[in-house]
Amino acid sequence: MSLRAVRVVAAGAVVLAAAIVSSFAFDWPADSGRYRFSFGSPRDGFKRGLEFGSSGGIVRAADDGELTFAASGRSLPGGYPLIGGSMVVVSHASQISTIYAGLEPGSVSSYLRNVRKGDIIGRIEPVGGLGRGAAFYAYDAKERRYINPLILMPSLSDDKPPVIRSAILVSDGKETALAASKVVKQGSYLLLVDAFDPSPTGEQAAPYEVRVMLDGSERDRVLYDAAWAEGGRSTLFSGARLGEHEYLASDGRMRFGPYVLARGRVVISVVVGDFAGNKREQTYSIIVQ
Amino acid sequence: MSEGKGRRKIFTVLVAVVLIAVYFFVFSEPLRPELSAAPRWTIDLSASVASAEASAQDRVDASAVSFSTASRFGYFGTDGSIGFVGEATGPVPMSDSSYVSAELVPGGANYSLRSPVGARVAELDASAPFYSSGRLFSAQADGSGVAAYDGKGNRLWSYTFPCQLSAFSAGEGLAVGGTVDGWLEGVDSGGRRAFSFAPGGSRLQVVLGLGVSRSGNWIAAVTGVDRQRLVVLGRGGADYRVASHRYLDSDYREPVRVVVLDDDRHVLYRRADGIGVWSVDGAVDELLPVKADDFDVSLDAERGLALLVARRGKKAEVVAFRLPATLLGRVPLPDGSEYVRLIGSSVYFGSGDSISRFDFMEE
Repeated sequence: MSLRAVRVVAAGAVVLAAAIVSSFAFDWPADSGRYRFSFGSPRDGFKRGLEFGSSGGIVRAADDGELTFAASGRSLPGGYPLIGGSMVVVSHASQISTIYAGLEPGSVSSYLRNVRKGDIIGRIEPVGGLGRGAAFYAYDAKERRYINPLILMPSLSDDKPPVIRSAILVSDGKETALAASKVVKQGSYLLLVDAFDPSPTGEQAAPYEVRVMLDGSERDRVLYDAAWAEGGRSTLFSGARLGEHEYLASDGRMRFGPYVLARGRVVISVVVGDFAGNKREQTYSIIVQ
Repeated sequence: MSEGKGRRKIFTVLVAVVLIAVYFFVFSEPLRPELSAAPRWTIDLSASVASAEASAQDRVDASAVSFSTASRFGYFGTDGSIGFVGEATGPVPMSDSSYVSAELVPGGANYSLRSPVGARVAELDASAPFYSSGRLFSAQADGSGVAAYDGKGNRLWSYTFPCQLSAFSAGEGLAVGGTVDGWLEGVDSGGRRAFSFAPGGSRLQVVLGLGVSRSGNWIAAVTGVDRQRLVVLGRGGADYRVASHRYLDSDYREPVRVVVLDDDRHVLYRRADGIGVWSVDGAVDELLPVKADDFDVSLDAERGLALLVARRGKKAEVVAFRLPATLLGRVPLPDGSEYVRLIGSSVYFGSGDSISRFDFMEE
């Protein structure tokens, strides 16, 4: 079986697992789904869940389950910080655990055992000095990977397409903005894409899909479906299986390639989609000398 | 300082020492005849606040002890001398050799590594710095990773765990994360995975608490829900293997304190009926009848004396015992004792206003 086929099968498995789980339909845990940042948003690295932000808002259980762990306060006993506040973990029959973090200390309780969908888990820690709200993660305990929570949640009305701010070719550290320049030298290039999808609260959240095509042929495609870690290394997307640091630049731009550009005319297309199916496409026609 | 102010300060310190001495006699449970608690000194912190940039090099010696309360932090000598005292708006990450200061900026914080006299050592590229076993680490922003630093603030390695950590502990050359899905994963001094192990055996998998011995040879963890287990792993060559385990009657769904003592033999862990004492080979299974939500332990191996500070709600007490579980006596600490530190047979405790020391003495 080719590597590409393996990737397709892996992606299919995640979608299938998500479809099975979604038949149980999780509910939005906070703010009626008005999340600030989505799965994949660059928030000190690749955000592996959703982030909500209404100060003092209530966080509710996304589904029936059993409380596995509740930590309240600023740190765990060995000193490891609970960034942003308290954390609660609920195990569900579907093998998915939901993790609620950044809750106001004192607002969570470990005495809650059987959790019903909609039960109050805690309050959102006020967005303070670190500029963070509460985080919600959907974790597949069997596969040991995070699933994009949007796959499991009720759909939201969204007619705003993603935004592509720039696409830049990089070779030997030299950046060439595609919108400004139409002539590049032949060689091997990385493509840096700066794109986002407006979240329901207007923040610059991550898209759900990004495709790169050269002369009409798809060269790269990432689907923001899953993320996991193995051997200490964060890995993204069940199909593409990219290292987080390979894919996400420190400034939040997405890295694709390398592509070898030979002499002649090359048409580069970048297509960015959101979870609701809205798409934005930018096409750049360049001369390679 | 005027003579009158000086006298008033001396008077205040004397009164504090007398009150502490009286407190021990009135409130403590009787200590065994061979053991007594002797007050040593009290430092008045309110008169000692210096700016973080102030140089106090000549006042800090090699035996500097760090302290941090909600309002103050700094260093003092074991002889009662004050090294450095700064104002704080919350707990400051500290060890006896350095601390981390934070400057809040929009969207985050800038961290600096500083020496015990407040001098800036380096800017720290960190999300949430903390110390474990005297080593400097930083937590990943989503709580699922850790980065390690050297004494100069250089990042040595970073490691991402498969999911959020519910427990973390470090020893010599080893850091171990316990995850909310029930795995223990060790990281060696080069940032490589040293081992990965799922204790299992419970209906729900989670690591509730773990401790790593100072030597890095032993790891003890309380894991799982229905039923809960205590599992001890020992280093065997390049790997870690189960050395002993037992099922517990507890049903915790919150962090559980687990400590491996410096003797590389005894494990202390929180139980519903007290503090369990277990040996790494499973030969010892005793109970200290001391109820605590959290605790710390110090072992004076020379004298065979162990001290334990037990916290329950806002109450704290110091318990003296001989291993494995012979209770020698307990001394409740005054309410508001935010800071308690055990070093050998000495107890240092206090709040933002003062720090006191008393020693357990054998007749």
